[in-house]
Amino acid sequence: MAGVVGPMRRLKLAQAVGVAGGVALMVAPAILAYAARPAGDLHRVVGPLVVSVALIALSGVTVGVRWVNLPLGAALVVAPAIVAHTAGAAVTGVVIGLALMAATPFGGRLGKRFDGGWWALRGHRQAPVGKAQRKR
Amino acid sequence: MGLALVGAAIAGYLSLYQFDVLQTVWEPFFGEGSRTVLSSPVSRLLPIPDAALGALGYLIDAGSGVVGGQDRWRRRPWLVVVFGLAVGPFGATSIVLVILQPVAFGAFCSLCLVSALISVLMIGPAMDELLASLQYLRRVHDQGGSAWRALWGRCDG
Repeated sequence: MAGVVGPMRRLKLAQAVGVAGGVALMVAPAILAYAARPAGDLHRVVGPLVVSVALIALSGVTVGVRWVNLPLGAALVVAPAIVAHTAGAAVTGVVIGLALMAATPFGGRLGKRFDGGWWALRGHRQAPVGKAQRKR
Repeated sequence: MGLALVGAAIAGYLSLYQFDVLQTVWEPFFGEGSRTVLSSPVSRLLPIPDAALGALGYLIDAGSGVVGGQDRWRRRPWLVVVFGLAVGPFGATSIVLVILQPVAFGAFCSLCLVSALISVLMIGPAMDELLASLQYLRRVHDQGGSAWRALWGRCDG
């Protein structure tokens, strides 16, 4: 049981939705036959970006990068009003866009082991010196 | 370093096809996709095929891991900073190439996608190590030491 609980605790919703949603965006144009439309290009550009952001945000120190998926999700939601979409493309984009926006806040936070993270470089906090303090 | 070696092996294999050493390339999902992508004009924009450049980048990463050792963030911060600054553009290039595959060439290349995945997965750990080095330099500076000397590994902090 403990072997299951551990990974479950580490599961980050924003990153999981980002990877799944991004891959779905990459394959949907071919499956739903809108690859030749502008919406197809849009989804095949945004898809890899969303996946990449989610994968980069898996690491503790770059967990904040997941917020980039918030405007990308918003772009997917408003795109049908700007670019011609088939019904399938519109549903795909809006559903994945809303899911990305809803999941973004739930992606974990900078752990204590990072001792203030990037903000500590400004000198307002004491930065660590020893590797033993950092549990790498 | 393990990821980098896997990436180097994949990129090296793909570059053998681009150099015409291999007549075919393994593609389990997308039919002629790999051939289309690997033979595209974009892959030959530079004097060296893009897969060969990728293999070189992975090998440099793996090599820096061996040279610096586990505590290179403190012993050789310059190496960590250089690697940290290099891995970002490396990952960004991979993302652009993934976008170009379907949009510009209408095809996907499975091994290219795996290679891109590896280069993106390397960004997080690289930033982790970069932050450790920068925080170390900051601490040295705050304690009145020379961050410049520490950058080159000339003080123990």
